[in-house]
Amino acid sequence: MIRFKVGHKLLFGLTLLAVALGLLLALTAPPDAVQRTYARILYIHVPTAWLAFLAFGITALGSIGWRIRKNLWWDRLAASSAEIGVLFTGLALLTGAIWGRPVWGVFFDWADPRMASTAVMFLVYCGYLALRRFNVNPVVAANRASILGIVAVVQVPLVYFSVNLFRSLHQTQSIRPDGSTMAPPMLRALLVNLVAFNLIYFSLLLTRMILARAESEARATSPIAGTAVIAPKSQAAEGWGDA
Amino acid sequence: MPEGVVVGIAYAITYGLLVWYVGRLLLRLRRRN
Repeated sequence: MIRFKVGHKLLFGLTLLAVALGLLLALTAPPDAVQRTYARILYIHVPTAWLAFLAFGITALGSIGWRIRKNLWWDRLAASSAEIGVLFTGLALLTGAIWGRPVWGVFFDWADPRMASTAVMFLVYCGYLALRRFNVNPVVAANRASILGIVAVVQVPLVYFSVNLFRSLHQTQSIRPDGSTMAPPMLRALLVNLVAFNLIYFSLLLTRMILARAESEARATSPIAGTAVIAPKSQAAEGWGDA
Repeated sequence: MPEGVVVGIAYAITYGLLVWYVGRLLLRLRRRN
């Protein structure tokens, strides 16, 4: 029987409170001088994109942890974070498309480096999730996926700095080490939503890791576990060494 | 399309998908119990 601990329930409660506060601030923040109400999409678009970066960073961390420790906890961390990262990347692409159509005139443009690199990142991590399913042996799956989990993370800085490196429809960063170019009420709404989405991510990650552990335990005790089905060796394959 | 409707669609998709994902996780967890 899976039961959430008090700390987990506290995290879930805090997440709901932060989401409610974030929604309130997002919907009551003043409209933008140029983009008017459309600018409110910022309060969900930026946090989802940020969470995609964080999630894939944690996937890389989990993958490195697996390669060093060979403990399946690290692999579950990598896999769970990647799944949530794909969800957040998809949301960033969807909210970006809905925002882009009225203000830029396009849902999506492959010529824009940030949109294109985000779409590629989304597809690569969909591939990561598919790769995990190619082998039922959790150790083999973890070994293969960890390589992609480490290599694919190079896309995160590429997506982030794409607006500085190339000509883009996207503006450059509004929040920089030397300050912010945003009006204080808008910045407040954005920061609260960033906190809320971070809490959503950690709540989802925790739940997904508990599920991953429960499913791996169930697989280990199920009657089809192990090597019940073994592909027959063909004579031609055995003779390969002599050829 | 009115601006408010466009923004509403974006919020509905975001929170709708998040709620769908949470529901899916909880259903799978319940199946394991």
